[in-house]
Amino acid sequence: MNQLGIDVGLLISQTVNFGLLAVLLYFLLYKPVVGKLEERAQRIKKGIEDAEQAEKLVQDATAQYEQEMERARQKAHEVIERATRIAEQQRQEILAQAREEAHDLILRAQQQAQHELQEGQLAVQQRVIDLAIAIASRILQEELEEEKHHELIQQFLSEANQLK
Amino acid sequence: MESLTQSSLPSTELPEFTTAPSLQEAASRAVVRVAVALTPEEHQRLQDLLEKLFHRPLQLDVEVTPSVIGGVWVRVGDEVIDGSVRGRLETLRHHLRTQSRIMVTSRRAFRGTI
Repeated sequence: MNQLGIDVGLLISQTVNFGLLAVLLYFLLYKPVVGKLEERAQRIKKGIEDAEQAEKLVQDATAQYEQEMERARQKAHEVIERATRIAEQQRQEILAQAREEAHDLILRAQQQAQHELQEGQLAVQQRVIDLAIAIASRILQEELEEEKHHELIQQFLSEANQLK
Repeated sequence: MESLTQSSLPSTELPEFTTAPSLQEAASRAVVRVAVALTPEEHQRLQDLLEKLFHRPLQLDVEVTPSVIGGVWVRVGDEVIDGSVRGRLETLRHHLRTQSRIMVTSRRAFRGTI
């Protein structure tokens, strides 16, 4: 070795030194750096997982929201439809009632008008009768002659004679 | 005797006496209303007739009033025999008014059925 110019002692010490340095570097530099890198990788992985989970949660929440919204829309639609149906039914009922009332009102008015017309006709007829009798009385009072009066008295006496 | 009407006097048509006669006096009096004065013969015949009808002697109080128009109207107590033209016209008037009302009522009833 000496012939080759290599100092064995130095080589051994250099080797030992290198070994020690390597061990030292391993423990002091490599291991912490690798640890830090792994830790960072874990953190990133966890962050990605969290983000994925959060995205999934967001998607789930969105889906649920959409579902709820759809249900609410359907319910609102049903409520509106029911309200519209009830309103239409009520409208029909009110219209039918109004028609019936109007019909009754017209009928009553017609009957009343008819009644009043007939009462009027009756009043006129009775007035005409009264007037005719009054005129007949007046004419008879003025036109009956003495002779006729005595004939009427004779007639009365004959008729009364048959009374019992 | 369709032309003569004999009826009891309603309480509202009590005789218009200036002094109220007793019931006995009223029952023995016959109030006679005519449009012209009766001849003595008519007076006698009427008296005989009424006494025969009412089975008692009667004193006739004859009133000449144009309102009877013609014929004779008699009241004895609360009995009335109406043979006056006025009475006949009143009967006719009543009949016509009743017929008129019946016609209107039946027309109304007929319309009510259709």
